[in-house]
Amino acid sequence: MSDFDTDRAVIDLGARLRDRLEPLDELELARLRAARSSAVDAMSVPVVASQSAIPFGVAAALLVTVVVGLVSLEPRSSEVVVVSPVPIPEPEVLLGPEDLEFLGDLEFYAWLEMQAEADAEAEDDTVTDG
Amino acid sequence: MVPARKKGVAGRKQALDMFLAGVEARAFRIALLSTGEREEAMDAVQDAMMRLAQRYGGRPEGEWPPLFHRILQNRLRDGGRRQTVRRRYVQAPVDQGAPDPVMSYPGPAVQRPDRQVALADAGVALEVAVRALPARQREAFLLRAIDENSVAATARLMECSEGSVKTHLHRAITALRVALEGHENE
Repeated sequence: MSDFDTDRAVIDLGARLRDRLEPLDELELARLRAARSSAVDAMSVPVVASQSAIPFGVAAALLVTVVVGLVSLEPRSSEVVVVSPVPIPEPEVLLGPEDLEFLGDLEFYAWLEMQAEADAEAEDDTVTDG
Repeated sequence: MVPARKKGVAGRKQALDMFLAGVEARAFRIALLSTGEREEAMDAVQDAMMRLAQRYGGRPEGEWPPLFHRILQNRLRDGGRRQTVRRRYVQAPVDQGAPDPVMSYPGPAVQRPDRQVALADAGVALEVAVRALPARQREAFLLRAIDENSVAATARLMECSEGSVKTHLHRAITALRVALEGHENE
């Protein structure tokens, strides 16, 4: 049996089967709509649109750099007295609005990394599904 | 940034809604032909929708069709296993005496005497033969014959090569023709 014969048989048998199928009634259509609505409501969406903006490695390195920088700016009891007579302001004061937004972004990237791990676990599940 | 994220979530939900709206009726038909029971088919499609949304909603939209198809097929297979176990208990011998309520539970359509008569009908014979196909052959056949996908699209949904799809189809058609012998004139 050639591919052509197989295709013809598939089309013929498919038509016979479709003719036998009763169309979905109103109740069934309503149940499908309700199920779809519930599924959409239950959808968990980590939006990854900005994921490609900065690779996680770079983001993590920047985060470490910022943290180290902030720690080095914190006054130590001995140094405050001896080195700087001027009181060092809060770290947030040293940072401009862009920097604060950047810090917020870094938190978001850290959250995305957690989502990526969750996705990896889900991918394992996909393999199991397959 | 936050409003953009919120807009993204809304957009994703809308995309999922559109995707499910596009596949739900066809999925139901495939599930119905796989199970032979409308209620079981409805449950399978509903479960598949929910599972896709909860577990894979964050995946790229292009991955949804094969994921949804795979989830549905796994759900149908699990349902089939449960049916097999139930059938085993339904058919188990019982002691004499009062009728066993388990025995009186209506079994699948093919086991009921009234439906046995109807099996003479070629259409019913075709449905039964489709359900009797091995899972991958049935999957390929229904995706091509009922969902009217191309061989290439069927291969993508089944996550296999086009050659494998053709092989499954060839075997399925051969098996169906054998099953339908004697019904061809009906």
